[in-house]
Amino acid sequence: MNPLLQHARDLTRRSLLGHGATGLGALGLTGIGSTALETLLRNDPTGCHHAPKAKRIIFLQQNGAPSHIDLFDDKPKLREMHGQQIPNSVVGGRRFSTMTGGQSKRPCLGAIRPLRQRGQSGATVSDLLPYTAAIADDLCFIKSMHTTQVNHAPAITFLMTGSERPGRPSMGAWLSYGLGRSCDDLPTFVAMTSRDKEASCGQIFYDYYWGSGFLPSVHQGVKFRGSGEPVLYLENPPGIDARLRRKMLDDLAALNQQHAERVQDPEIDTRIAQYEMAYQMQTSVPELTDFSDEPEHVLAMYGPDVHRKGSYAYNCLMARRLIERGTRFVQVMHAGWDQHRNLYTQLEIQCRDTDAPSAALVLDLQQRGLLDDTLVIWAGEFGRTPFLQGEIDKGNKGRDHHPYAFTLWMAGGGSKPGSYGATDEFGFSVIENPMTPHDLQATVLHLMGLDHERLTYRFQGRRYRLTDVHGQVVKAVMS
Amino acid sequence: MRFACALATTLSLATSAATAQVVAARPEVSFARDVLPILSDRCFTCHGPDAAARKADLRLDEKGSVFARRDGASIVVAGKPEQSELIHRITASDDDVMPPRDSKQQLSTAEIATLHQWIAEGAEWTEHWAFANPTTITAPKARQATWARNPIDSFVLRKLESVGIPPGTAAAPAALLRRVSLDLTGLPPTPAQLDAFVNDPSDAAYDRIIDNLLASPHYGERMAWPWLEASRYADTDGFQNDPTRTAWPWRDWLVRSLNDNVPFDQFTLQVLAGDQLPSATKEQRLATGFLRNNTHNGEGGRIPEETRIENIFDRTETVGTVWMGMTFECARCHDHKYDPISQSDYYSLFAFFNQTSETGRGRSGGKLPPTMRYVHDKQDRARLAALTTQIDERNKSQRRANRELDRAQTKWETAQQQQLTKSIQSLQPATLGPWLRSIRFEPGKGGPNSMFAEPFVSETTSEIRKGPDWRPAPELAEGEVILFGEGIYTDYFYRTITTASPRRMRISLGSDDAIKVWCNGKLTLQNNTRRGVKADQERAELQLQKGDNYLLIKIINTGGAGGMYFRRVGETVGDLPFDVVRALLAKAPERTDAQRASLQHYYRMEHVDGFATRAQRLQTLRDEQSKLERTALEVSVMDDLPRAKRRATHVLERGDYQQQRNEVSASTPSFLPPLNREPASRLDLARWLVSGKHPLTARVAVNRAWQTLFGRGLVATTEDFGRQGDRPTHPELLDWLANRLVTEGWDLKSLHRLIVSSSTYRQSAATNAAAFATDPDNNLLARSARLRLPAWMLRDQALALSGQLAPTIGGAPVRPYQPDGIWAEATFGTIRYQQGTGEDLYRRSLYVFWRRIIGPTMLFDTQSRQACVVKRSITNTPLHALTTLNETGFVEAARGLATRAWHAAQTPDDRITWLFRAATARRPTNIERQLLTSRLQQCIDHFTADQKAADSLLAVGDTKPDATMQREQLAAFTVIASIVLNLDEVLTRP
Repeated sequence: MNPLLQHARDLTRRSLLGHGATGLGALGLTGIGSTALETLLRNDPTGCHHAPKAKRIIFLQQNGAPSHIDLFDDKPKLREMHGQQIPNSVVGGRRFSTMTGGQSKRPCLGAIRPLRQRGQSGATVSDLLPYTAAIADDLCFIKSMHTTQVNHAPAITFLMTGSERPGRPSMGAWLSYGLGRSCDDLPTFVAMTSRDKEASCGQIFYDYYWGSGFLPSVHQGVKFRGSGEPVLYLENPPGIDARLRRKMLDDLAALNQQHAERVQDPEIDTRIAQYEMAYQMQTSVPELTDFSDEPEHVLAMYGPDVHRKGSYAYNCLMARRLIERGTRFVQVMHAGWDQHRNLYTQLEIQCRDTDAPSAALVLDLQQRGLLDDTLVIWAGEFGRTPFLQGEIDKGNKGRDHHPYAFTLWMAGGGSKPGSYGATDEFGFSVIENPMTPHDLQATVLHLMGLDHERLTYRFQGRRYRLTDVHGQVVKAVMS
Repeated sequence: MRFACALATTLSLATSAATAQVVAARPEVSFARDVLPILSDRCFTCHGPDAAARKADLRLDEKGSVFARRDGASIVVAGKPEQSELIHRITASDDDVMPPRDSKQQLSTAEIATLHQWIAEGAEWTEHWAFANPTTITAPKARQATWARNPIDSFVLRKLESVGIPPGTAAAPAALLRRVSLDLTGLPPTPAQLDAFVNDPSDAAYDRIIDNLLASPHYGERMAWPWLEASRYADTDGFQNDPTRTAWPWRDWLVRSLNDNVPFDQFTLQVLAGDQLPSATKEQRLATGFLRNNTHNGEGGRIPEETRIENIFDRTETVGTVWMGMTFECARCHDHKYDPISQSDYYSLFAFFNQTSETGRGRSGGKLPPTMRYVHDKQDRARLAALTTQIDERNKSQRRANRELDRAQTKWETAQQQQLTKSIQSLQPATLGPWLRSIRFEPGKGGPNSMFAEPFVSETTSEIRKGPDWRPAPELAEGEVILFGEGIYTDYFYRTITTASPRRMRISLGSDDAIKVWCNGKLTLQNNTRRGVKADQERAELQLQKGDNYLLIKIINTGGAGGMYFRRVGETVGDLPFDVVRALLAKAPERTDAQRASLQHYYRMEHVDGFATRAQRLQTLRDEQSKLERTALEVSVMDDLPRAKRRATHVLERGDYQQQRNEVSASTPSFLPPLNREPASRLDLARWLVSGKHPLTARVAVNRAWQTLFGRGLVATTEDFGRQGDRPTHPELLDWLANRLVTEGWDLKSLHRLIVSSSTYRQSAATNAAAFATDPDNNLLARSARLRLPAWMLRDQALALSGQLAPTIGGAPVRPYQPDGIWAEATFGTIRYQQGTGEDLYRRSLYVFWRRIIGPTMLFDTQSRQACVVKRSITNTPLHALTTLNETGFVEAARGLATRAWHAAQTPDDRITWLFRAATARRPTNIERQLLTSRLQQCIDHFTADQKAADSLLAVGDTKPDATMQREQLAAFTVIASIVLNLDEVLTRP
């Protein structure tokens, strides 16, 4: 972007953040700021580069890396060669984590449960995921994902921020920067986390997965918590009720406005709006988290865990409620997929806990007419090895990290149902239509109406992009 | 200024194409200001310093290439745009157009016009301003000389006069006092200080205030913040499990160093190479913790070398940003696109940091080596220093030569030697039987500690071990460190030792972790320790009888890998201690110093009257010394590998640690003054940076100081002085300040004093719509800036106003209020927050524990401490408002402020006035006071009617509410104080 424009936009954002019509009107504080500039902020002319197909995103990040071999990428050859060494020609001297890096035996391990053709699109889905299987025709499977990172944190950071090192803005932050604020009383970008009940792995969630990097921190994802207050410091202190808080804020606004007249700093207008938005958030978040208005059949669809605060099912329903109320990007992260040693026990549990909620979210959006312009993405940070980690005749075996191929799915928001890309007969390497996280990011931005090469931010003398200097928009996965 | 100029250009072009008349009507273009930024931004990607990306072998960043003739044409012909290929190409309508049509960086009409005009005006070419040394400048004479208090003002005023804008009015004394107090100490002035300055706002009084603020210990605490952010300081590693580190002694060093006003050149030498300074002190070595404050990825499955290389990337780029204001990161993977930093330059700088013993591995025994032991307590440190001197002196006097005595000793030695040789020669070495081993996984009654005490085999009987639990252990090789599996378990080792005669045997041991040794059922050694195994960690002496003896070793592994080490040191008979025997058996000229000392000591103990008493006294001192040394902390610092083990540094293809390309040696980028040292060390690099001849160091340093006090640097891109960075708003002032910094001995307090003394700094922040529209960014400095206080300063200010701020300086980090479950949720319950009590809740924010994966929750929009950040970043979101309104600490602080106001005055009006003034440094207007008084009365009524609400509000926080106040009064004043603490005026530096 032209530095002049960036400057003007920063200025606009800075001085006008949060001029929600309702709040200021209610306060009787008219005449603050400029309606024209507000329009500029809302319908940012440099915002969209082309007409968007998607207006909102729910990113269901499956932390720990689900096994593409067991869930989506059916490989009869692996079953045939079960227990036999995977050919060296397939592995080709590539590196693995230090957990199997030194393992000389690499026996093939077939999918632990059958995969079957589902629906008309020809997609294959495991018996472990019956609900996902049932909506297979609505999903766009990308079977040719591959990445450069072999450890969790760098790979997730790469998937969410376009760089394996912490410090770059995440996808949701870029969208907030590019498209502006999406609502007044809730955050534009929300992150929520959960993990398997068994606590089978130790992956933790770093806040830079939803960070704003070098972008102003106003673009950072707001973490909704799984326990206590959903948003930090949301509740008034004991002894101060909503009415008293309202009066305090009225006083604050009046005092601030008087000061604004003395010093003429437009930042004071920002401050007044900021406090007003805080008040609105205090009223709208409790309404958001109150599921009592959800019909029983909808709750049932997400499964029994939906009532457990902080569970994956709860977060999936929250994601729908958030985007309904104006939030643009919801990042739901769920850990527990790292089955090095417990594939035969944990994978099934993990699928059971996530299958119904993920599918329910897609169906729920569809039934409400929201799926057309809401993009749902279900993705791990890499795949799992077609060969086995551990010993074949022992119980505690599984699969190691596999950056060379994995499968993700998308639904709605302009994505095209069907299957894209392919791996070799071992599910080891991508052989058709390879797609990197940068390609995914470029494609997602495109669906949101943004050109990934033009959505830039100048920092340390360089124009940064979500996709660094890479990324191709993949038209074939768009409807 | 660029904003205004570019705007003017756009406007003129909007009405007409780039016609000659319009061009002539515009002010002359400046190459540095107008042209270079365009070339850099639009052209350098393909025609710049990056050799690999360069197209058509054409460079537009070098004068020679731009003006050379090639293929019968010149890129630029001075004065002749129509003959310049550059103009032809940027205005071409066919496929030859530059930048190419598919480029995302197209030239605007205005930019084309600027390039055209530049060539028409003679195509002046100058080097990028920041790469040339600051020119020697004398402060200009401005017309309104009375306004100027010091040369800063002359520069600022001259620029204002050139655009016909008068300087701003002076800030009200109280506002100025609040500003300068917050800026220099991060704390607001007290009401008494406000009174004094309002009564005497003279320059002399202001000078005294500055003296006091600069001398305050809080000055160092405040100035430490930008350094903590630049040095990515945190109390944990980041990444998986986020283990805690002991970095805070470095933080305390930083505060001391800033308070002591260590000159910036010395400071630089210490933080970058304190360990390499001649006879480096512990403090100087501690300073290098700066380079070790980076994140450290010890994730399972992580390849150590990859981590090591990434840590060095981080150090290289941090030094590049902090001292040179250059962005080296790009050159990690390829030549820089805009600045003359080649990839080879990058790895040459990297090479300076590539010689430490850091391995990139995870933690070992809770440390990230290399570390140093550092006694943190100041008195303990002083006592240790005194002890060391005393011990040295006493030791010297004990060892002083005495001809008579020494001659007698030699005689004694000869006699002993003969006797020993005889008996030892007749001594057949004892036979060590094979090892038997028994591993016990029983958890013990109370974990590893009880496992140490609890016997899992009969430990004190001397009979031979038998049974299925014991198995031969051939894996235990003599004199080798042997590693065992991971886990928590007890490991027993057993062997027989057979001798032909009674004797003593000395053995050397190592263990991971705790160890106990029995010989013939008698406990000979125990050390309940936690450590990694190494050779020779323990010595034990075994009393052997004739025939079979029984040796039993017990090792408790408390987690991670286990290990042991065993070696026979020697055997002897008689009463002489082992050390003495060994010394006697060595030939006199071949004895080590230690052996000589041990011989002399033994002889004098036996033969000199009073020697034993003196030796006892010395031993007492030594015991005290080692007791104090045991309190030492292990702090990560820099070191150097021994010369023979130095690493070769290679260019890494795309920054991949596995893809080594050509070798480079440690040196500095070629566009900067040469270093002229080979091989060059970190110390050489540090000296080069602060030689005073470096074009960037001083400019970058004064710019950061300016940013600290004005909210924005003279160069707005604090982190980038390169060609893509902003130009200084006041280039001459920047150079003058930079030169002054060097000539005044890099004195930072003097620099801060100069800035806050200036009339420029002392202007009012008030503005009007017209002035704001003319200069929204305040580039002209015709007013002061209103700056929202950083979150840490907001918290400190609230604590200070509440009267609860604990003044303790330094020490281990503290844990104030934090909502339940924050750490637990981020770490899946493995790490839980243990809130502090008492003073810990009220310490300055500088001392709050900084968990890198999730920073302190009440310190919103602070830097994430992942990587070096030097630029101020303040944003406003509703979440911030929720924090200052609802967070326990802020609510408790409001009550503290309310309590103080209650006691400071007698009537509601006076109390509100006092409270308002304490927070804003001014009295409320009548309207303001009436508004608050009426709210106060309503609140009193409300809380009188609802005593439960009052009780709930007063129960927030650990401090008991003032019992002398009526509860509804205190609650109501607390509400008023909370409103005041959230006023924009209070959240903002005036």
